[in-house]
Amino acid sequence: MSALGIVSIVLVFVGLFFLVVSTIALLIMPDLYTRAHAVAKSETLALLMIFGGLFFHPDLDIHAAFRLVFVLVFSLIANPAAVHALVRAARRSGAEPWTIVDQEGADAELGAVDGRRPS
Amino acid sequence: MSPFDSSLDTLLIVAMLVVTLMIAVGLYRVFAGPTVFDRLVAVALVSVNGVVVLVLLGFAYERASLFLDIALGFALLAFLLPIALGRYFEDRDDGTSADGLPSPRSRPSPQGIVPHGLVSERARREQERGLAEHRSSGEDTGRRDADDTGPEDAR
Repeated sequence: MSALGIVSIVLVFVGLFFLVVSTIALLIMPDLYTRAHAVAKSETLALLMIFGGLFFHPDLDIHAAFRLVFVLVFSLIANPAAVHALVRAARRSGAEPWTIVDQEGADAELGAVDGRRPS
Repeated sequence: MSPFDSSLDTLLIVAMLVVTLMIAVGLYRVFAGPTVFDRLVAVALVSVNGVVVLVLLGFAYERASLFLDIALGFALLAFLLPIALGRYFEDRDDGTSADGLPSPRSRPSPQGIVPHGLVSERARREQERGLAEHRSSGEDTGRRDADDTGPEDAR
């Protein structure tokens, strides 16, 4: 495997790691906002890494390189924008953020009295 | 073609299979998401994974230009879908909507599309709140109905 091929495959698998992390976060995060955070940021970074890795692929010709850059730039803009529009719609529809359920336990842990934290 | 190049293609196929597995995992959130917006966020992730699968397949099969064209079309559609459906399911508190029509809650609902968890959840909360106000206010209800435009509604 050539040096370019090694660089390519390493970048692709680093991007794959971020993609797997993003998908697992979509499963285990507690509410819509945290899930959207995972999709908008980690997934976009994964896309950048994978496409950047494929940019070093030995078979890449000029036509494929142009299209690769075009798809990459479009996805870098479109993916966070789409998730942002979704979360804004959810916010206007009254989706509530996940908060600490055990408020009394949290107050006791922080040394708060009657919900007021020591300043 | 040297065997090293084919090993590179094999690794790309392995990466493609992992991304396909992540599509399957993301589809769990599409089916299980409690509100429709959870499902749409999961659909956004699944479609980005689909773009990645197309591009990796194109490089593995040495048809990168062709598959990148397909991936570009797919990315355009995947960009439009969450925005359009987010607008469609948006349900504001004041009854207005982005297109000036009444909020989706007061529109007739297509069967099988609209039963998302958010509206029913909010209806349940409003019902609880209404019952609580009714219980606490008692005979004050008549006076509260009289000045409906008071500071309580101005929030």
